[in-house]
Amino acid sequence: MSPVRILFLLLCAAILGGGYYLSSQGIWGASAGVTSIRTGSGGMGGVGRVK
Amino acid sequence: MTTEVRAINCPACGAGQTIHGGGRVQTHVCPYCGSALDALDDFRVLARYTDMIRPQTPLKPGDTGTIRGVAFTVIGLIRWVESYGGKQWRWVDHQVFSPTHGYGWITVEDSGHWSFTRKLRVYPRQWLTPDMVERADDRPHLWIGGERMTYYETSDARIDYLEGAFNWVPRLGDRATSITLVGQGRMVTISGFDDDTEREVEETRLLTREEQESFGVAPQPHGPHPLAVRPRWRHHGFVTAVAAGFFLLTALFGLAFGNGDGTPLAGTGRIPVSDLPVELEFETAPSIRLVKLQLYTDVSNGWAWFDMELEDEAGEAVLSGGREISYYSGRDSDGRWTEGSQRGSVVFPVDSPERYTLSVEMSEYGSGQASDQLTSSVVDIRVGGLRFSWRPLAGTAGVFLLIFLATQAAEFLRRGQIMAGSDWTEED
Repeated sequence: MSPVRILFLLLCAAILGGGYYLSSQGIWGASAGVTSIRTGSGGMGGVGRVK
Repeated sequence: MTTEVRAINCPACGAGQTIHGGGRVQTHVCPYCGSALDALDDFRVLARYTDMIRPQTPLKPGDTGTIRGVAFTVIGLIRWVESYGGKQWRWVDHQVFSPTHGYGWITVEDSGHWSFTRKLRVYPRQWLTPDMVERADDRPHLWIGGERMTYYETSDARIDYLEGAFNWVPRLGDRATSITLVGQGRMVTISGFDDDTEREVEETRLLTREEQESFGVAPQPHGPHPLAVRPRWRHHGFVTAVAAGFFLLTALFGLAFGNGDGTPLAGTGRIPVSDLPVELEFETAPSIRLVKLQLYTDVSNGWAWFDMELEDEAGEAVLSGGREISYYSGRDSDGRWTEGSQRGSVVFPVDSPERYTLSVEMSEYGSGQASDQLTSSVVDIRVGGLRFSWRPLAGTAGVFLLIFLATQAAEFLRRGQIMAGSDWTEED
């Protein structure tokens, strides 16, 4: 298998691994309209990693 | 096959000339007087073609060059004319000969591209005729030599100029019908569509710059040609398959790890609205990343706004959120209709393990006609713990889908460029 194909396979595996990791950390899991009282941030993004 | 080069004087005009092409030459057409001579019968005059106008071509009989490492000599040239819809296309075929590799054709296309054609000994299992093309609903295909060839055009051309030697007997005005199909880097032309015509399959490839220059001519392409379109990306199949595979793998991950409403942590069951606000205490296991709060209320033709607040074990408020639930229904000329839902949900991020207290309050409500009108009587609140967020996996699947679609789109556009000159038209 050519190096380009191996690199592409590794890239795909890294994307899948990254997606799995972010998912398992609950990233982007909060609903819109949820606000961190401590930081004042809201929305679907980095809400709620409080403490 | 002999390699002899014969010198004769034309029996009609007396002009001396050299006949290239070995022992299988059947006809020679004198370039001076247009007499067609029978090479198999002491160059007897078969016909005389006067008033032929020599086409502009940089090659003449006797010119030599190298194609795929094999020396070929131009032995004759023939111009074809095709007329359709008031338009005319002309091209010049140069018959070439190699003592070791036999006969072939170099064609100078309208677009300035040079191609090399030779007979194939591979025949498709199925045959295609112009009538079959006419009747076809979809663009026809043929499998030739293990490759799926796609229909490109049907040609019905006639000869309007002849010069030099040929290993067959062409006549001025002869017509030839052929079907051309295109594959990866080659075109295949088939001919012989009635019972008394021999079926022939020929393969055409573009000459490389070096091959063309070996005939002493600099390449000057000035228009599109189906074989001049860049070849298919060599990683196309691999990238497409891998992207599709990873897309499916991500989808399987989503199905395997998606936990719907989550692990039940707390709930009120159905309680009267008058019991609000309520507080729900729960503890999150170490693997819990998110808490999903599900709300049900029997609101009807009205709305209700629920405020939620999450406190940690120390009693400190850490998150707040809100969700409106509205539900309307009725009947009109189209029948019964509904809008909205009596259910809603909110997802909170949490730290784990931790003890939390979630307070839920119905802070506002109203109906379609009047505010402050209570339209619900019960609520049901459930809290579940989620181990995964679905959005990153959905984004990952989206990346793989994008790679797949972009690869397919690039190939689709490339195929479109190849087929741009095809005479096939899709009917609605």
